[in-house]
Amino acid sequence: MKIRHNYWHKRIPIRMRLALWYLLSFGAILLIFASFLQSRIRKGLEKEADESLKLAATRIIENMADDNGKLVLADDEALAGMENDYSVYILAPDQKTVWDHFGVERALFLNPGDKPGFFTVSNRGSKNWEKHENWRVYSQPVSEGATSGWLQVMHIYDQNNLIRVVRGHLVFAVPLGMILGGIGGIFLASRALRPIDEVTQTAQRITTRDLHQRLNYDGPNDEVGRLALTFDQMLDRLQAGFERERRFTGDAAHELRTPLTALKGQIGVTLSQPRTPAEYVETLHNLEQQVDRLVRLSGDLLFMARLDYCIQQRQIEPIVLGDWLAALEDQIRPLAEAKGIILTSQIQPALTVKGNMDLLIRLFLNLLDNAIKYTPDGGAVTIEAHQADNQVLVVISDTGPGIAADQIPHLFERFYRVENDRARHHHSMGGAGLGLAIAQEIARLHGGQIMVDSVVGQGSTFTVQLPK
Amino acid sequence: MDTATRQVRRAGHLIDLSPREYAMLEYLMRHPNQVLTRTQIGEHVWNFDFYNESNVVDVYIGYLRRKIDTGSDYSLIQTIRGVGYRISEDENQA
Repeated sequence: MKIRHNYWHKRIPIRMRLALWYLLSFGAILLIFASFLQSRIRKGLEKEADESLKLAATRIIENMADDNGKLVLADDEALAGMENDYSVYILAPDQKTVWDHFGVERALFLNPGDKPGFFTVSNRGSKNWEKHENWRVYSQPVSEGATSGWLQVMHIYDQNNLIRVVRGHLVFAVPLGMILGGIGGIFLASRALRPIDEVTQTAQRITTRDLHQRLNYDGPNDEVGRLALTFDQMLDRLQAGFERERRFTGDAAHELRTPLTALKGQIGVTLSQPRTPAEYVETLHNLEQQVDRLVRLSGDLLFMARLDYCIQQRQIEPIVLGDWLAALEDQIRPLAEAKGIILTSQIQPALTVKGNMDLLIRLFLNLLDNAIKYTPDGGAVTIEAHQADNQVLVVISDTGPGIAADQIPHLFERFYRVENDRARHHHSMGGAGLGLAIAQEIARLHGGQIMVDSVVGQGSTFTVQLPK
Repeated sequence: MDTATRQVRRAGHLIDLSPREYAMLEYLMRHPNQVLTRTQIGEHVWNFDFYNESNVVDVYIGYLRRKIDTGSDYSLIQTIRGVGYRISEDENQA
């Protein structure tokens, strides 16, 4: 589990967080847009003013004449359309005015210096100008024949007024846009999260008693669709697990109850009338055998129940098969000898498997026990091990009665017993039906499997496939 | 046996043992000439998750014996039939 950080923003519900992020990005876009708009308007106005100043200057230069060493405007027609808001100066090289035209009374003479080009002057420091009044000025050196000087054209420049108006609108428009954006953000977040709410509500209705219900989310395969699908798949696994567990518990209880009932019956019969000590001893011997079987069964049940947990806890180590199978063989040999069964092994040298030794001992002892149990007296059990591709195959063959083909698929089921099981007649030998289930489970936990091959009347072959 | 480095040598060769085999051998060697029952060994080596499975102890002993007896002419670990196992320092007892 992750450590929970108490950052303030993690405590805001996701709906509000989404809406806030939406609002923030929307506001940022609005602000960028507003400043872009403002700067485009400013640039556009400036360009327009500059073009008209340049045009005026060109017209004046075309109509300029040299009047005894002074530059003057020869034809007043050049000033057509420049009556208002324009001021024109022609200056001598020493900056003295030699000719001027005022479109407005209050226009001021400006010293252009020797810098040609455009500039803006504002009204600051002059009583003659109106508040917020700006002038755009264009200066350029001019000459007519031998006479040279400066031309300066000025125009009232009300760019800032327009921008102020635009800005005034934006001051209202941007917050209004943000409010609308915020409402939109909340709406969008709610829309986006509604399917999750639906999934949550359905999930709340599903309890352990009601595991067969599914979300069955009817929507596109998007984030929510995948979440719902994952949830359904998890429920499938949970349901299968619960059902397996329930079946297992039921089967286990049944398996324990039957022999216990039989025990109780025998005790009752024995106690119903006085018996000789010899009879008591015989009964106790019988009971002991059955109790032994119950002890084995409960041990198997415990082992099986803990198997999944065990593999994570136990270490995996390389096992040298030759020596290890020989040790197993030693273990099983007395059982084989008691029945006159010939036990032989043929193990490819230098073969190793990676696995948990405790569990693998269980696996092979179960298989070898079975092989000896089902092989008639005087038969043969062989152990053979070799490598095939990346796997190690350990083959245990017996000369027992064999297993019918229709029973093979059930062989590894818990509590399954082959019908007409002769071994069951001997209580001391009859297994609980868990041996093969445990063996298969161990092989599976090691990433391998057990395969069965059998011919009725000739014998069975169990092949354990394990990763190298 | 070097308990610090957990290395086991017999007659000079290093023997490669798993932790459980090492624990088993160490337990036997700490009680020389003493017969230890399967249950004692099981409880010592497997701790809590030992389900009284004497078979498993037998197979372990068999496997361990093969590992440590390679290249030797007598077996270090002796089986005391019906009781358990014993390790003997004295070669003559073997």
